[in-house]
Amino acid sequence: MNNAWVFLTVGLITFGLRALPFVLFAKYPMPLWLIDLSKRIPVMILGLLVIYALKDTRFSNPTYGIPEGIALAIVIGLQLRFRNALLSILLSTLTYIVLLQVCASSF
Amino acid sequence: MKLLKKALIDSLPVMMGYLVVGMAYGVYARDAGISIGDTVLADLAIYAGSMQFVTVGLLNTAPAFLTVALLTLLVNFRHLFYGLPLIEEYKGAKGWKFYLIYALTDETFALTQQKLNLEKKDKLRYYLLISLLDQSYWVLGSILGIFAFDLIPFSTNGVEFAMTALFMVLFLEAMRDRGCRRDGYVALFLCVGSLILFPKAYFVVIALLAITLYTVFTKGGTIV
Repeated sequence: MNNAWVFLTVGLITFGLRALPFVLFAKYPMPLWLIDLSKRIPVMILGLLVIYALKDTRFSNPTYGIPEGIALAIVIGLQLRFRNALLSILLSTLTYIVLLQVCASSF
Repeated sequence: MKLLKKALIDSLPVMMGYLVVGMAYGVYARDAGISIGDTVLADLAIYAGSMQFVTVGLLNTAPAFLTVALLTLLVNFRHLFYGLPLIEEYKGAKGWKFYLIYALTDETFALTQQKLNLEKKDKLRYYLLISLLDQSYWVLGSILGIFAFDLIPFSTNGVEFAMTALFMVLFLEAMRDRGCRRDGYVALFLCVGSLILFPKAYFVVIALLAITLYTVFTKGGTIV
């Protein structure tokens, strides 16, 4: 396949995955178990995305996952205390950037 | 205007993440010898961050259709779940619905799951604004990566944590708003377990199946 065909294949399947629930339940009602699932899934997907974003963290080297651990503790602590999303995100990210630099020069 | 301001502020962490990861994608594609046109074409035809990296990595291996199709299903399986809570929300979006669904990335989905004190009409406008903003950050990032990466005088290492932090914040808020902390903790447990026990490539699919089974066999603690 040339590049354009590869993109088209990947793009159509990705769109298909995103569109399937909308298409399936446009006319027909969801079964009860799926209604329950769709109400409960947002929290669980957000949890999954946290882990998904962290999946490439290495705990063996070179930074032992320390920057990630500290930055996560900061974002959780700030958010629970102040509930200001932007504050929690910006401060924890800044800390993470600094920690990466520190670790890069000391490990 | 007020809505645009809110969308800009809310999507700021996505901007940080998409610009930086988009740039990394642009550089990766350039180094893999992919033309500028093809690199941007993938931004529009695919528009799914991690899958675009995978796709570009495949291009030089002359992949077979089945390989590409199965790999896409595996990597993007999670997107199958994003529409479920949005079926009602996106009703009435008319001609824009196609775009809203097409643009439903991890980060855009996460932003749609905030508690919004908006009227239905404004909600749809807000969803459209964050979808359009997020995609423009991504496209801009990849173009910057192709043309200007070498000109950026500072290291962007670590900026992508803004997206992890965004997911964490929205996760904490969703647990609080929806009164379903148990579901949240169980999801974390199942995801970490799956990541430890299974090959990384399959962990999301297995975690999502486990999450589905868990929901089917337990009573919902939701108030929404």
